[in-house]
Amino acid sequence: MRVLAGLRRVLLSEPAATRATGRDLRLDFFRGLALWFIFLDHIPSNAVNWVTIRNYGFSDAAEVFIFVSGYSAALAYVGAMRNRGFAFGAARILRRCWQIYTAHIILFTVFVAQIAYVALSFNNPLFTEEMNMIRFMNEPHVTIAQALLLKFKPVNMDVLPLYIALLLVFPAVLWALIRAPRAVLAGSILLFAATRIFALNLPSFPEGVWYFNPFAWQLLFVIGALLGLHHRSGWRVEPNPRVFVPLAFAYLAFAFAVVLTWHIPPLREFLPNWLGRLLYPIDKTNLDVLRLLHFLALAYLATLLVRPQAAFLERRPVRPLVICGQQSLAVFCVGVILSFVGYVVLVEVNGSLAVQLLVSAAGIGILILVARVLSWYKGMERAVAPPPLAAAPAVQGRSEGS
Amino acid sequence: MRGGPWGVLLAAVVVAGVAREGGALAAAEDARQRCAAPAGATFVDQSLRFAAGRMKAEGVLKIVVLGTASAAGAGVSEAGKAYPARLETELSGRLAGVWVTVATTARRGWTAREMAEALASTVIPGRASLVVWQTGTVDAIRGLDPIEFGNALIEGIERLHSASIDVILVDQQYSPRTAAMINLAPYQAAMERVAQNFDVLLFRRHDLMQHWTETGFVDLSSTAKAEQQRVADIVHGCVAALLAEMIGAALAVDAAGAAKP
Repeated sequence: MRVLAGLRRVLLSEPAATRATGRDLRLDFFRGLALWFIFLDHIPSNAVNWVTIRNYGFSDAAEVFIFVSGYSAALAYVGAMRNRGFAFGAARILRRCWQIYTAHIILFTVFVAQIAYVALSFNNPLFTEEMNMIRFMNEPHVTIAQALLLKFKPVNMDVLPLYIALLLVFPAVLWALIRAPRAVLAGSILLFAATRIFALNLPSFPEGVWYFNPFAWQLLFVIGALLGLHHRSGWRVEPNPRVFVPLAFAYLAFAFAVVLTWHIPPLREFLPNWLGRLLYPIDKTNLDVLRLLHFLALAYLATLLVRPQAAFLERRPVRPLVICGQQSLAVFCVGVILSFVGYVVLVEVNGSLAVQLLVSAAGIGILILVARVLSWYKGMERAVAPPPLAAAPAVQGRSEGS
Repeated sequence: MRGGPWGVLLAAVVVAGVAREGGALAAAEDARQRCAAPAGATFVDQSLRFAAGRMKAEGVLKIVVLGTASAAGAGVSEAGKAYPARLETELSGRLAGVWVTVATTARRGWTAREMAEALASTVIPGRASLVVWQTGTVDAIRGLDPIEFGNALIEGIERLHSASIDVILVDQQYSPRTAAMINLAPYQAAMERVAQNFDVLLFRRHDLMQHWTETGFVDLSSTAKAEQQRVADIVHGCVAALLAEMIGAALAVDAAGAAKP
């Protein structure tokens, strides 16, 4: 019985940080939502992923994830950098970067096991071309070395390398952001523009370039960080709602109309060729301006609709989302693995709609469970740890929550 | 989900029917009924003006299938069961009085860029009137830039159009076991956009094969060789039947258009 009571306490634990600590729960809420969407989107032929935002506009959960990560990274490390110096702040950021790197390598190991399983257990000549994807297994030493260098990235595993690359330079970016935010934003926009003009990107192995071009996606991270700092300092970016609310709605409606023609081919005749040639291709790799604007419009309306004091953020039904958003690294990694497991169930056992619903619900249930256990553990750890400043030099296991 | 004994029996009957050279029209009709397509999958919003023109003037429909392993018939029980060969049979039955030929130019591991560059030496000199261009898998596996993939398609289409050759794009196969490991989506999106912007038909083989799998019409998960071949024959037969239907409909669009002054 005591075990059960303990378990109950773990599972019904409060979020790691609530409004009392001044944390903006909207960040956790939207990041949690993005993580659920990423999990659902990574299961091919799952009807449930019709609910995710990529079906209703140009941008998708990746934009939410990177923006919120930039926002919360700025919030999490600005204190350390301001109060305890650049070196300490930088060390904290790089420690987080290292955690993400190791998480990525664990995911890579899982992926190699999946590929090896498929290669050994499945050989259908109808899919001769498709099975060629395992050719990288011919030289495992090269592939593994390239994976450690973040040049070899299996499918669905492109977001963490982007995040790692962004955090690696974030100490310098944050240092500059504190001092000259406008200059950093200008530099970030210049780099974004240069990326398009000179086709800058990092190389991938065995060929090609990064799926998420860090030189382009940095802009979203920097915008997030900038807004995060402004939030902290009390300064608010408030564009005139009379102008920008209708503009944002109009743009979202336009994007929705275009996306509808992707899902319903007969609607295509309403999209003139000249407009199509103007819009396409909508380049995810280089964070197409259409995608960036779409995300900014969404984020703008979302911040107007959901104010930081919104009561629903502390209601019980949304708590699972908030907690998932707070334990984002673990939830992301478990989500990547679960989406593959879920897909195996759909292919090997049963792919009916009922099973798709079941797999999606079970996966999200497990994500919530993982987040709750971690949240409980970190809370307990914090409760017994001495205050950080008075503590012995030994590093405390404190989470940066990003 | 999985087809019961009746499904297997019916499928066997269909294969037997489709396989007969110059097969009775009834069998072909039956095959089309079995190869059900979801709404929109074989949607025709473009004509084949060059092919229709030459068909009217010369009485020929000369098709080249440009592609990779599946166009070369990987997995089927015999060469004649691959979709290009069966497309010829299907169209000959459908277009009375027209001399239909289907040739195949296929190479394993061919990227869209390589195919676009090979057009000048392989396809264009042969005076084809229609190229069925099957691509997208190799580029996705190699993770080549989807934008560059789209550009290669555009260049190839423009080359063919300026040589008065029509194009139908054929997208990837649906491969359930590898779907979670190969990200086809950006390449499918590129094919959709290019087809839409350059007035080219797109044959959505991926959606069709997925539909057949989800409705239990075919089971792509077998590991027994004989069963794999039987299923491959059905898939290729249905691809040929629906492709022929699409080509027939697109040729008719033009005929109707031409009839109006």
